[in-house]
Amino acid sequence: MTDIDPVMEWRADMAWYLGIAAASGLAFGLGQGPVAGLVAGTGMLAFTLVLALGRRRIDAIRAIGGSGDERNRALYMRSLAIAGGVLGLVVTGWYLVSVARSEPDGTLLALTVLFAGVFVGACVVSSWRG
Amino acid sequence: MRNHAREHRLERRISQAALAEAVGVSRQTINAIETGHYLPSLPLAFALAGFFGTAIEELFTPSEGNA
Repeated sequence: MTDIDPVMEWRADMAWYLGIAAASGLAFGLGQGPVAGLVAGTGMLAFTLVLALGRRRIDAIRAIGGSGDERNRALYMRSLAIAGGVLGLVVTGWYLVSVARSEPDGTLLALTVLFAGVFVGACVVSSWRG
Repeated sequence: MRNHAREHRLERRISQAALAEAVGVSRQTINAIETGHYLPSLPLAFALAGFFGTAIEELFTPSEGNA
């Protein structure tokens, strides 16, 4: 039960993951050398391949990819919320530990503020849109 | 929420996969609905009711204590 073209959605997913693979390979290649770039890029390509091959048979892979029917998308959103919540707690906690040690970490503060801002903004927009 | 999707499907002697294809979802989603692990959206509930030729309230009924 979906209004989204599954083929287009799937192509968008694959384009996204291939983009991440290319960016990972490039970043590691520039900063750590060509071998590291190859390893990072290949690792992400392998992950993309697992998504591509497993999506027809394995429910969890459809949820990871964010594609599939309404239940797969609901699972994807729930998993994303759990991952985001855990990340927000860890980053905030880590920042507070750095403050307690009298070594406040600016990067962690920026991430904490970004998380809080995006979360509050998403709540406001979601409430507004119903 | 209780549902009678499995009873309706078995009455018609069709597989979960065939029902899934008919309403445009995966077989696992049909299984999750039948076992009560997933509550379908209103459009999907209507699609299931339409497929079985029944009213939506005959397919899905509130449990005790649910509105």
